[in-house]
Amino acid sequence: MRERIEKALDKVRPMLEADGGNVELVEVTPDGVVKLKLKGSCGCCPMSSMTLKMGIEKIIKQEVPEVKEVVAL
Amino acid sequence: MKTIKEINEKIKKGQVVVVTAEEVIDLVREKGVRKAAEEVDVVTTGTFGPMCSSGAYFNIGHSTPRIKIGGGTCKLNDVPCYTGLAAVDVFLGATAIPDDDPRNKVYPGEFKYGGGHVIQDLVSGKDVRLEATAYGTDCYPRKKLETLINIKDLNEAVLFNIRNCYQNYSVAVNLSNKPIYTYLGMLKPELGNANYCSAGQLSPLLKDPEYKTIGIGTKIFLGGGTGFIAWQGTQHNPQVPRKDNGIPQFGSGTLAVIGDLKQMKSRYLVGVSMAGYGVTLVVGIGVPIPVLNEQVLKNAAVQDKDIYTQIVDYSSDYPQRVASSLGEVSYEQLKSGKITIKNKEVPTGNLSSYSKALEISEELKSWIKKGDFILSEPVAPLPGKESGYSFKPLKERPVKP
Repeated sequence: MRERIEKALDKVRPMLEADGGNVELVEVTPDGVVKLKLKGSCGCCPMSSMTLKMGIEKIIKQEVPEVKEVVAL
Repeated sequence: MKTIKEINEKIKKGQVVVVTAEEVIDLVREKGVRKAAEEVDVVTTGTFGPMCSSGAYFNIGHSTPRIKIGGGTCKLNDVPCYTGLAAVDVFLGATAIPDDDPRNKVYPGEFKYGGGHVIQDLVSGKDVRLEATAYGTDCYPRKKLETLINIKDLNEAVLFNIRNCYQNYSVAVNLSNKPIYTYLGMLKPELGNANYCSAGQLSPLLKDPEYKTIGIGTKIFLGGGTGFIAWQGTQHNPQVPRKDNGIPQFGSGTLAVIGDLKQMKSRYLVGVSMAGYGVTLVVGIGVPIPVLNEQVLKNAAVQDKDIYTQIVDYSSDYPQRVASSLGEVSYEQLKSGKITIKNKEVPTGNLSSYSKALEISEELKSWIKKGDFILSEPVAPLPGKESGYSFKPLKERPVKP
């Protein structure tokens, strides 16, 4: 599952990198919660909650349907 | 000296030279203003950020039997529209939210879905649920309507944003000891972060600071389609202090824009939820600047280091309308990721996507080079400093019983 989530994140990374950001997968809990660390300019970006929920979470859930939620640390 | 007519002839012949507002900076550095102005015909600008005074109007077509929604109610995916118009014309604002949204009752509210999202769903080609009620008349007897609608079936779907493209904007910080939630995002206590919102050296009105080429009637890239500048935007204020290069140091000019929503793309019109604040629409706009003379090019070649804005406290000064600044910073400083305020290093974040703004300026450039986008002559100028036009606060007066 972790590998599939990493692959999904690879799809998102180019968009984040375009604005100077990135994302790191920290943990996948047994109940399907994905914990991420937003890095670079994403770390202090006011739009990061939108990127997380509407971008990253949407794509991860599409690719890995067992994922229940994506949260930023 | 060139005219828009001459530039359009070059577009039609496939000879036009177009550069983005970023590329023109290096070009001028390399060749100088005079030579670059001879070579370049058009500079394309771009911006992609949240713009709350956005919305769209629709004519949904007449049902059988007819209904007069005007004076009644209308909701699109539960989001209320304005219905004070004729029978089947409605206007949806980007910040409208469903009646049952908890708003900030549980602070900070999430504002999961609203007008901006409905506009994005329609542009994406998704079906949207329409529910309308009416009081009924002899000529429009129907009192209730519930149906799915799709943008392709609407008679008109027109994006009409009464204030977009703010020419410069403050940097927001929080001097209080608790987090606050604003239209510039969440602000951490005690100068924990600084949020701004501008494409800086790519932003349309920062590259034509005194509105010498951008005017009413200018054809633009709007949400992935073409649109026009309809008027100066609300709160347009050319009177603020400016640097020697003519660039305002505060929020200043604005644009009202209009265009066919059916041509637009959801990539450039995105509904967003801002925690504790509300819902809005992120709008992609690109404006071409015809290089009519050297001064126009000189203005278009201004860099982030030459564009300044003010740092404002949003915990107290902004809400209380106290005119104050904690300092002035350039967009180069803001884009470095940190600025210094009151001797503290503060991380910065931009609500406006520079990469998408660049993409828009590149897209507009390719349209012009392919001959798909002919420039228009403004039919009237935007009010400049000399016009006396300004932005006034509300003068509250007691209401007598």
